[in-house]
Amino acid sequence: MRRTALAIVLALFTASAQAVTITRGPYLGRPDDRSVAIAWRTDVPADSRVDYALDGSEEWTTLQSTDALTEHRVTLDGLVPGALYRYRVFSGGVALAPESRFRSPRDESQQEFTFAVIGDTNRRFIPAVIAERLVEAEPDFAIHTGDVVYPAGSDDLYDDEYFRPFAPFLRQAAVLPTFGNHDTVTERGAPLLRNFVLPSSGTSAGSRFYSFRHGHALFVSVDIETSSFGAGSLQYGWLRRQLEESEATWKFVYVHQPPYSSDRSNAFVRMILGPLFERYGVDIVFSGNAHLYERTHPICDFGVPRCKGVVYITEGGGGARFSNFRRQKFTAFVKNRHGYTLVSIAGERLRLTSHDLDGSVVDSLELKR
Amino acid sequence: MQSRHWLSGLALLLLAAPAATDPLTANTSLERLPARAMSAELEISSFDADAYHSEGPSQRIPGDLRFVTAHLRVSWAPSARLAYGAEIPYRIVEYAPALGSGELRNRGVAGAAVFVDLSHDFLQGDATLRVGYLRTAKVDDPVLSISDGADRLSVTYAIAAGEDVRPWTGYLRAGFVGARARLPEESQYGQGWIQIAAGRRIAPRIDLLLAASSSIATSAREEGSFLSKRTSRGNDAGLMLQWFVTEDVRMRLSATQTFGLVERLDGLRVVLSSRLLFR
Repeated sequence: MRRTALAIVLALFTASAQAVTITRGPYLGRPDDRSVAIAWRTDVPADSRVDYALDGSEEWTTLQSTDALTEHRVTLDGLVPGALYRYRVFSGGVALAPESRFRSPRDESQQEFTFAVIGDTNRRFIPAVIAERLVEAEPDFAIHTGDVVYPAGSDDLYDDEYFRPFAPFLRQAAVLPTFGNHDTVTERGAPLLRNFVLPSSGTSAGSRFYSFRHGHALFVSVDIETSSFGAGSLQYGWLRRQLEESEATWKFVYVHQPPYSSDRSNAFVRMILGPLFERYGVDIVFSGNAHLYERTHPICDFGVPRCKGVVYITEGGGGARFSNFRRQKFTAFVKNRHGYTLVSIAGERLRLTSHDLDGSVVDSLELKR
Repeated sequence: MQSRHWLSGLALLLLAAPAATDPLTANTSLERLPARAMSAELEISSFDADAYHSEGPSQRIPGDLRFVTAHLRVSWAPSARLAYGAEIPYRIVEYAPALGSGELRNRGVAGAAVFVDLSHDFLQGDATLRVGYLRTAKVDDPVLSISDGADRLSVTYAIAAGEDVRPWTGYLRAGFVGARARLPEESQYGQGWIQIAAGRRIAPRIDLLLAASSSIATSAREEGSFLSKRTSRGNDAGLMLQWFVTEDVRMRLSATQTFGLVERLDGLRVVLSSRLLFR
């Protein structure tokens, strides 16, 4: 009798466990400079478990939460900086996805790495090809210059337009977006905040701007779509402090609308933030919005002493229909192309390459500090 | 003779291809000229912008942003009902960011305009219809530049109070400005505006007027810069002093402050102008 009851309980448990299906992910997030978040979604509420181990090691660590949820987020702290890890995700006792790998955030001593830049991701099949290329290139992470989901950044489109096309890449690297105008049409951008795990390094928990450090580089995401960025605003003061106080060798800023573009420049990003970029030695400002790839000559517009020149890159070639543009004097290279940008840093040298969908290099830039 | 004037007026209108000048400042003269008189007007406008009000949050500008535009306007009236004119705007854009020790400065002739004025009697004053065409200076980058590169066609109707209503004085004007976009991405441009000034004599030869205007446009184009693709609207109001130095020399000084803005620069505009009549 007892055996029968146990068998029934086990059968029920197995049945319920088997019913859990992953509907999104796993994908990575970056809550801070030392941690990695692993997130996934299941069709029914279930527990969350991540097993992870250093690549090449069989010493697995398990993190588990028994809370029954459909949105699962597990944060892995205490990681060895810059190390390659393997991981598996489970809910209801079932392994939900094949084993995947990620690289943990690098510390200041690790000065060789690659990151990717994508933007204005649209029309599924193009992001899917970009994802394949990024999987091959294995950047540590990608920044997204905004307009993640067209046309209105609504929650119901995130799976079809973003998570599925990019799935192979999202399993191995975090994507860190800034708000685009399309992302903020629905609920002022709340879906984007729900769907990404981003550093909470702004001025408050609700800040829509953030920064993070990777190796000896500083990355700053500026929100011009829903936050004030003019003089006297919280964001302006915060951005100034971030740039002024940073001792990083490389400084990168990303903001959706380009201050210098052969398509349409944002006059106020240029007027308000341009002097900050020049004054505090930002190396490259990445933007999207214009559906093309563009690189400017190094720019010093505002009479800042010892300005070393800021390069403005527009990476908006993630799949949206091409822009009409007219080449400007500040333009070093501009092309309507779908693709992505890779930035490889080795100590005081930087090499940026712009790629089309077959991975070919269409433009490159080398900088030395 | 009269018909020849009308024909030449019509020819000028036809030359004005569809493609318009910014709304007039409070100072701009737009009234009937005496027959066979020539008018020369120099108007210097200085606009200090503090902030930009967008549909979302407003952005305060960290530094001194100033647009100075000088308009030299000359017109000739072959008859009391018709006048031809031309205008040259010269613009200086200065931006000294708080962080920099230098400043960004652009200057130059922003374009050239021609206009035709058709006047008629209206109640106790006169009314004038002005059709103008502004050919703008071509620029690559319409940010903090002397011109946004979009040629404009403008139509303005102005009703001015006559001497019969003294000591009161004033005018009512409405206009439309249209422009063809420089780039397909910038979209076509249309702007409608209305302007009113009313006041009375406060001293011999001196009038004090309250001036106000309101406008709405399909995108934000101001002071030679293309600022935003979004619908722009705003108002300004202030005071204007008008001094008749002689019967033929009139000076105006106005100060107007913007308010109720969407996708528009916020600031104080001071305009000094002088108009000379040669009979």
